[in-house]
Amino acid sequence: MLPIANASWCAELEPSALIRDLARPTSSTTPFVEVRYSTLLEAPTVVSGQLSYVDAQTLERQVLKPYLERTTIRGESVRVERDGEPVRTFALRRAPELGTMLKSFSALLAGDASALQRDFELAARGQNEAWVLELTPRDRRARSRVQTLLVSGSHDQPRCILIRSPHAANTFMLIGDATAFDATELEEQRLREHCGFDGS
Amino acid sequence: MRSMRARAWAVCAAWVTVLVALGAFVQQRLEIGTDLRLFLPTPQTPAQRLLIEEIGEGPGSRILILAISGAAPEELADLSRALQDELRIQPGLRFVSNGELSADALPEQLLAYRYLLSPNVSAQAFSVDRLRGELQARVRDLSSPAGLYMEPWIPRDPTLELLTLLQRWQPAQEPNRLFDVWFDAAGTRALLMVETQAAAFDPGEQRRAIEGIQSAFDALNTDGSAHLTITGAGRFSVLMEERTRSDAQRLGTAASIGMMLLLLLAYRRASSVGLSALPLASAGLAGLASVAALFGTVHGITLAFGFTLIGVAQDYPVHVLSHHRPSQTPTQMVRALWPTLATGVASTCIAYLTFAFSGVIGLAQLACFTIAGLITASLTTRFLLPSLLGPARRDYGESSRLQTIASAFARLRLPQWMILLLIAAALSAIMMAPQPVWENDLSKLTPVPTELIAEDQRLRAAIGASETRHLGVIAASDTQQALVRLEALDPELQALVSNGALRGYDHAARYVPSIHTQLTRQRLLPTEEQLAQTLRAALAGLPFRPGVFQAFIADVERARALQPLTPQALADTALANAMQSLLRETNDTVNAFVTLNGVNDLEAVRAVFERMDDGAMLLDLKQASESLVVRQRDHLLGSLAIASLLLAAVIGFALRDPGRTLRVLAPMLLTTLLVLAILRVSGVSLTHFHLIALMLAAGLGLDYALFFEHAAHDPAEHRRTLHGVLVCSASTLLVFALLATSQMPLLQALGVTVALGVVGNFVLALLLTQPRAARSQVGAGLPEPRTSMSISPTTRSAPPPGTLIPHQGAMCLLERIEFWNESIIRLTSGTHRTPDHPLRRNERLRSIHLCEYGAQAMAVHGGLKAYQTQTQPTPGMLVSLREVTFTREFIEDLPQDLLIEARCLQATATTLQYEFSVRHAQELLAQGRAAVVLERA
Repeated sequence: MLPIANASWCAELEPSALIRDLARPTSSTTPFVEVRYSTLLEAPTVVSGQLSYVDAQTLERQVLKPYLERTTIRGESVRVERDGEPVRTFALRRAPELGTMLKSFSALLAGDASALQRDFELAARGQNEAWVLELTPRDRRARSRVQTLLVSGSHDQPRCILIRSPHAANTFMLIGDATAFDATELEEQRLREHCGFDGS
Repeated sequence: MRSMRARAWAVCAAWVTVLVALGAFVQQRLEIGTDLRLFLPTPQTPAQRLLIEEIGEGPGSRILILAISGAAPEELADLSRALQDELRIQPGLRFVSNGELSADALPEQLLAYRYLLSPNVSAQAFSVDRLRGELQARVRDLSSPAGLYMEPWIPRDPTLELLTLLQRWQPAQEPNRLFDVWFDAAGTRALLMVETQAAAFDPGEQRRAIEGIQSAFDALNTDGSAHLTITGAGRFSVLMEERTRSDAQRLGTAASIGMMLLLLLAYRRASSVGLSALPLASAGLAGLASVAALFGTVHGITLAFGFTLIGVAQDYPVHVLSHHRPSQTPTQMVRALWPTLATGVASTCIAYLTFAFSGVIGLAQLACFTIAGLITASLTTRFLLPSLLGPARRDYGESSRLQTIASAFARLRLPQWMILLLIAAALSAIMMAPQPVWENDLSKLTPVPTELIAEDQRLRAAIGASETRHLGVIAASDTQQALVRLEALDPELQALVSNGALRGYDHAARYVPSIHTQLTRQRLLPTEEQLAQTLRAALAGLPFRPGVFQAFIADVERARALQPLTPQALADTALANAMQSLLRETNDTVNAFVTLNGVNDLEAVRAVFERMDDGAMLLDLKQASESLVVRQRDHLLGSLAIASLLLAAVIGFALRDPGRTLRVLAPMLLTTLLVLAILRVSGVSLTHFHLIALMLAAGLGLDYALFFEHAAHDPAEHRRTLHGVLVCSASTLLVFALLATSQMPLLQALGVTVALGVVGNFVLALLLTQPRAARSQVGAGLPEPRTSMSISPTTRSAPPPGTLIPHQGAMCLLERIEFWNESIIRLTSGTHRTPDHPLRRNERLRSIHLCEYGAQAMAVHGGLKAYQTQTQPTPGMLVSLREVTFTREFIEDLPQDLLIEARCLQATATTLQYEFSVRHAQELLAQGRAAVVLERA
């Protein structure tokens, strides 16, 4: 079937339909690269590893480079295991930025549009080949920490997540194919283009 | 007849109205206090004073520990957080924490104070090396997931001074933490710590707090999978109160039903059961109303003890019901019982009056309650019951079954040597029993199940809660002095922790250092330029952007100009609670508490406090409360001793005869001794509750003895009394034997003691009140006053009544003396049948002549008494007949002998008052009263 025959080519991109298409089977694993621009540091920090979507409540973020670390997020609780260090646990409430991101993330992976709509205002732009989903937290307090969350992707494949925070600078999370990226060039504008946030 | 009925109803209605009004008054006025302090004596030692006035049972005892289990740790942590949010807005709780560090602990305007409060601030704190080390750590933090939330804070506080403070303000012994909240070591239970406003021994308030916590949890635990455990002293006091209450209710209901059945069985009338409840109900209400009027609040213990003590009142209507008989109007019958009843009530009340002066409010309340109650019950019995009693169906004085019992007891004689032997055995048993005489630890009476205590200790250790038994106290003239002294003590306490004598401690100076310390730290803070310079050097080679730490420099600069923080300034912060329980200000002194946990070497800890100047001490709260208990018991015992003397005096005054007084007091004294001996031999250490139970038993025994003694010379009266006392003692035994089966030691103590006391008092009262004196006075040729209860014809050697009175020939109407003693005579006669009876008119004998039979009975009685004392009988003249009633018109056709009874009601040197009755078979023919004036020579 030719893509040109698809009616959605011309139609308004519908966020819920888009999200439903994003649904992953549980226990799917995808590589990621996280680039965090800090207002305090001159150069961004970069970590890479694997994201595992275990079930609707549980997400695992495994850092393989530059150090080994496994973070398990289950409900409101975060468990951080790092080589040679005692296990640390904390509440997502302590890290609203992280919380907002992870909530949206697992809802996306579950294809759960209604869960997303509960917590965020949704907007979509672009076409099936290159779309951007914009999530704005409905909760004013959450908004003071995370302004918006942008998810870019193509068809049913998410590509990047950009977390825009009023305090800290932006954090980019590159997923799947997007991780194929030259980590030496960390200029933010280039990263935006790579992710497809500036494409439309 | 109809008007009598109407009057009875009117009286009854009036009484019920009064009761309802009393009830309303009580409901409106009376508050039931559960604070044990009302029941404690005035404190004497500083430790006792602290215990009572300041801390209840210590700050540790207000702590409840909540454990949430039964779900995955993540869910438990979520529940813990949600529960904390709920509980923080719940009234009655001073402090709630699940271990989460909250940056809100210090409000924004106080944030700069972190450089005055943190112990990390020293001369080295702002050196290049230290700053560089901290900044390197922050770089690592920023690339971790935690970096996201630390980022906004790092420019202002790169050394994480606030975190240091927040951690310091957590319990000294940091519990296991999962997902930011406290967990037990195994990670299966999320823990929270709650401090209640109410003291642990205030079960009413504790119950409210605990119910609030539970309902908040239930609302959150929507799927019902998780489980909440609450432990702590307050929880225990609620639990034990509940168990005791439910036991008391269960057993009380069973006892009430049993008692009703027993009364139904005894009197075969539902109305009797109803009537018998009236005095006790009135007593309870009157007792409550008088306490409400005089005190306003009543302590729960007063109520419990008070209702136990007025249980005696249940016996009053029983005596009346057992003496109710066809031959007497209820009013006459109650009037005859009244002196005995009143003696019992008066002596008991006067004895209890001593409690009013014991100086303990709770005991004064108890006295007020009991006295008002007993007086009301006796007045109800005296004035209300007679008008409500229906006609009697039978006379228990003529029951053959009771006669059998009475005879059986009459054959049982307790020789004097056996009594002495019993006393000796009891005394030696009391002395020899190995266990301590008194139980000073009242908590033993409401013992918490061991598994609960173990659970509490596990959770307490897991969460690092301070222990409840030991508490350091530092007295100072003001808050600052207290803080300075705490700071002086702190290094020693730290040494104790590091050498393992102590696991942890807490005190106010850990939150707010003294002004002196804050000023010292303030002087160590670098100036703006100094800090900027040091920071530049420390940042060299680190990836931080230039100028990001301006906020840090500004905060340090602000801290340099701050007025030192005082505990008062924290009033509206989360720290206020901690400060409030650790620093207590009174008018002229401040008490600062040092809470301890995990005391391994008590002596070492004590030594640290003793090395301090005066005003510092290590309080042993258990010991202090025990010494209070001892003082309280001393009060009780002192009151009891005076009460016993007063009681003996009242009885002696009422009976005016040492022999009779002894007979009345002996059963009760001997029983008390025997019960004590039995308790001691069974390994019991005595408590307040045993004392109260012994008092109740003694009150019952006194009544039994008084009634038996009163009826000792009159077999029919004796049988009625026996019936009454049997019903009384059986019902009391039933109630308290049931209580004795309770698992709660408090109820068991009451039950066993009273049950033993009832049995002992019943048997001994029956045995010891038999008149020994009368038997030893048998004179030659005189009819022996029969001491056995049999009514078979008396000894043949008795002289005919004719030899004792001036009436001669046919005019001597009486034939045989059946029984006599000092106050009563009973004769039989068949002369009414004789055709040549001198008083017959037209072949018939009118009932009115029965008065002559009565008069002659009185004369014979006078003659017998004169004969016994070897004196000349004094001639007397019948001057009045009152309240004489007859049931028939003629009596000459009655086939059997007449039974004539005369009872001396009052005897003075010049007058005699008699009550007489004449009966044929079961039928009362005549009764009335007569007055005789003696003709003195």
